[in-house]
Order: sequence, then C-alpha cells, then structure tokens
Amino acid sequence: MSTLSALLKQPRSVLDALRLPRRLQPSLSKDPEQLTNFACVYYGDHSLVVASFQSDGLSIRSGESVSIPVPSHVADDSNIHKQNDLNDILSDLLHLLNLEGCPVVLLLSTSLFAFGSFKNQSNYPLTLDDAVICAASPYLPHETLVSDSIYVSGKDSYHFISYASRKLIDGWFSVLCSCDCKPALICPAVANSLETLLGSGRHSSSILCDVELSKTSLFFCSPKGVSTAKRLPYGTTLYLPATSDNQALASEFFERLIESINELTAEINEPAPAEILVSGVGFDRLSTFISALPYGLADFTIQPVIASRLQSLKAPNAPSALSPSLHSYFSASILQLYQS
Amino acid sequence: MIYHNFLSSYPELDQWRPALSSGDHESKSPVSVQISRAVRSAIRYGSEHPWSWVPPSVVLLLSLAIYLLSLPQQWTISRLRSNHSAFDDLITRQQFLQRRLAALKSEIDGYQVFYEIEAPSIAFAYYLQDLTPDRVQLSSYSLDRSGFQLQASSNGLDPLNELVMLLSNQPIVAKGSLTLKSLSRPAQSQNPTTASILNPTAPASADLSGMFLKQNVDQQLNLYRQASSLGPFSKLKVFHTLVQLTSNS
Repeated sequence: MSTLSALLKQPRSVLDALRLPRRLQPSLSKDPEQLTNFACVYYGDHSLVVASFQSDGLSIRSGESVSIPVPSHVADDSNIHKQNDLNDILSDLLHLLNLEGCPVVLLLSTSLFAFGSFKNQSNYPLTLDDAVICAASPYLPHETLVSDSIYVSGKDSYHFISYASRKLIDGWFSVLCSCDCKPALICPAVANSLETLLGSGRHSSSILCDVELSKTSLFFCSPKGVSTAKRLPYGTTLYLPATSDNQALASEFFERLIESINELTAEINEPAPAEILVSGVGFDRLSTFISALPYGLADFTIQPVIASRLQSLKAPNAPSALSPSLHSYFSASILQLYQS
Repeated sequence: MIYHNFLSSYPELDQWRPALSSGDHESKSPVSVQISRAVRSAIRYGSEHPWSWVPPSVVLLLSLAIYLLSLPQQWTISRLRSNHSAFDDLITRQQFLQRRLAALKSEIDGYQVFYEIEAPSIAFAYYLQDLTPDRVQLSSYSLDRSGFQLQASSNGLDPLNELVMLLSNQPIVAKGSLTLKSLSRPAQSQNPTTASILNPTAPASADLSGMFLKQNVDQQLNLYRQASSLGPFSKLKVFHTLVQLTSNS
C-alpha cells in the first residue's frame, strides 16, 4: 500500500508505468489497400514544407519531408500573387516525394487566420451567417470565409470561429486543384491539435500557445471549449540566440510570453490556467537552445495521443525539414480526417 | 465533419474522404481484418489513456482475491459432498417412510372399528362348546354385542344346574348377569302327576340369558388364546402391535 500511495503521489510516474511499451503499441497496417499516402503541406513564415505521411486511420507513419522558402512576390500572408509559380514549386516538391495524386492536407500558419469565440445562450442556434459572427470578422463580408467548431455544455453551446481571407484560401485552393491532387483539408495549423486538446477531457483550464517565428497565438481553453483567442505581435525570431551558450535570450521570450498570458487572463477576468502548453514552428527553433522549459510551461509538440500512433521511417537523429510541431499538427489533422 | 476545414466553403469540390469511414468498406473487410483493427484500436486506446487500465485491473484483482479466499470453502464443500449426499438420501428415505407410516396409520385407524366391537362370539362359542355337559343339549342360542340367550334341555335338572354353574364362572360372562328366564319340564304323559314333575331325572328345558363382560385387548387376547382361536388371536395381536407401533412413532 505504501508503494501504491507513493506512486499516486507521482501521477506522471504512474502514467508512465501504465503506458504500454513501445512494442505493444499498434503498428501501421501491412495491408497496402488500407494505407493512404498523404501529401502534407504547410505554409507559414514564407516557408513551404511538404511531407509524406502514411496512415490507415489508426496509426501514422511519417516519411520524407522537404522545405523551401517562398518568395514574397509569389505568395505572402494575404494573397497568392503568382499562382503558376507556386503551382510549379508545389508540383515539383510533390513529384520529388512521389506524392502525386495523393490527398493533400494543407495547413496554413495560424497567424493567417483570425479567431473568435461566441457563447450561444438563446434557443436559436448561431449560424455562420449570423450578424454577430460576421461582424467580428477582420475582413469585409464578401472577402471572408468562415469555419467553426461547436462545443455543447449543458444548455449552452460555444462557437469557436476561424476567419480567413477569401482571396488567400481561393488562391491556395486553385493551386491545389491545378496540382492534380485531391484536396482533403485546408485549415489553420493549430486547429486540429486544439481539437485534440479539447477532446482529451481535461477538467481544468489551459492555454495553448502556437509560437511562430513572427507571431504567437494564444488560445484560452476551458473545459467547455475555447473561450478566448488572442494574437501576440511577436514570435521567436528576435529571441533566437546566435550560440547555444546564450540561453538568457531565449528565456526572455518565455518571460514576455508569461507576461502576455497574465495580461490576457486579467483582461478576460479568468483565473490563471492550470497549465500552459507551448508548440509551434518558432518554439521548435527556440527549444533547441534551452534545456528545460521555464515558468511551468509544458511542451505540447509531442502529445501523448498523437505520439502513441506516430511512427517515423527516419532515424531519430536524422535531419528533417519537419519540426516536432509540424509532426504533431499533421498527425492530428490526419487523425481528425479519419475520425470525422 | 472536420472542424475549421475551409474546403467546406467549396461545395462543388469532390473532397477526398477516407475510405475506411465508409460503411461499404467496413462491410467488405474480412472478419480477421475487423478483429485485428478492433484489437489495435483497443491497445491504442489503452496506450493513450493509461488510467483506463486501472478499473479493470482492480476488478480483476478483486475477483482473483475473492476466488482465492473462497478456495478453502470450496475444498471443504467438495470433501463433505459425499456426506451431504448420504444425509440427503437418508432424509429422503425418512420422509418417504414417514409418509408411508402415516398412510399405514390411517389405514389401521380404518380397521380399528372392527376390533373395537365387543362381540366375543368366537370365544363364547368355544367356551359354550367346551363347557356344555354331555347330558345337556342346546336347542338354540343367540348372541349379540352385549349378551346371549340360549335354550338348553336335559334329562334332569342336575345337568342344567351344572351348565348354569359353569356359565356363571366363565370369565367372558359378567358376574351376576346370568339369568334363568324359564325352566320347564314337558309332560311325560297326558296326565302328569306331581311325582313326575318332581322327578329329578325327568326331562327339563331352560332359557338362560346373560351379559358379556367388557374386556380390554389383553383380556381378549387371553380369551382367544385359551379358546385356541389362533386366527383371531394372531390378527388381534398384529393389530394391537401395529396400533402401538404407529402410536409411538
């Protein structure tokens, strides 16, 4: 009993002890008819990442990946200026990875979207055409594309809305269609990880930080759903130290992030969250310079739900264009595709 | 539907959807594939939710503990099972015998009325046959439950006196109940004389009546034994034994 009580005092150790060993975890199906190759595309911070993934709906295997910078005159955060050039770039990358004709999962940088959260207390459910929702868009009504997720808690329902520029989405849609690929998903990069977090049944509030190179997005998640989203005008670009010895510069980013989170919680009049989860491409770059996360932050790039299903064809230390966060985002998106 | 998918804004698009989610694919999958998929899904769920192993493990451990605690009792039960079967068989036989005895008792109760009738006719007939003097002739006699009547005749009064004396001493006849109802001497000629009437050797006939003595079973058995009436004796003895047996049980 004393051993059990000692174990209960260390819940993470108990969880680790109870977790199945790696060899018992489900492996990818060997039936080629059940495997689907996915072309996973990420665009953010003027960089285009293409990766190959295989999945049978239960497990995921990541393959080769390639990253290439996209010039600003071809595409930027608001529009695709030269669709033919971008189409050529993407077609070449897909051909390079033998992903032609595969379903495409396109994740766009979270900072390219705007978010809003609405609580519906009336008997009439909110729709995407509702004036309350449309009024919160940062774009003109005819230039806005809206997508949402709904969380029902008792009689109340919470709508978490993502807004996108119609020009941007139309441009990427045209590029995908002209690449002889079958589009499967176009969504914000963090969206499906956010759904995974909310679907994990946590009973306390948490904040998910999607840290990019130039911007950071905060999502305040209560057990009922995403209540608030906020974009911070800084990323990790300015805090990447030139050498690994200068960790103080990296710590300054987290200090500034904590201050922003405190301002957010004070602004929405919510208590401090039980946990602060960090992920994102910018965080992946910064995490190579730090040994441990300060201020009680938790790394969300390797989620247990995703990690148990994720296998890699590459050696663990092999160089890859796919950062841990993109790994997580793509895996969560593919799993959501099958679960939908 | 998948949330935050902006492809839903293009309804004309033939969007890719996973084949595994279609019902046709599921139905066409072989059973082994579906079982393997279910097992993998269960293992994956257990790996992702480690705490989900705890309730079933606790239930299994509790069940095992209860089973181990119940082993000595099971061994005792298996060891005493033969004794229990023998006891159960004995109880069944005892119940059968008790039912049989009750049936026998009710049957005996039905016969008891025949033995309770105080009509010792056989014993009286034996005694009458045995005690009647040679010189006495019984012309008729009748019996009922309570008494008897008889007509006797003889050549003289002495044999009748002897008969009366013998009857009065019989254990079957109640003391003082013997009554001489009439005594007659038929005429020897058409002009009888006083002398002939007073002749002790002249023929005489007498009507006698008496009451039987009420007797218990032992006295009845004794009478039957003395009268060598072995049939009624054995029947009454068996009946009496059975009554005692059933009344004691």
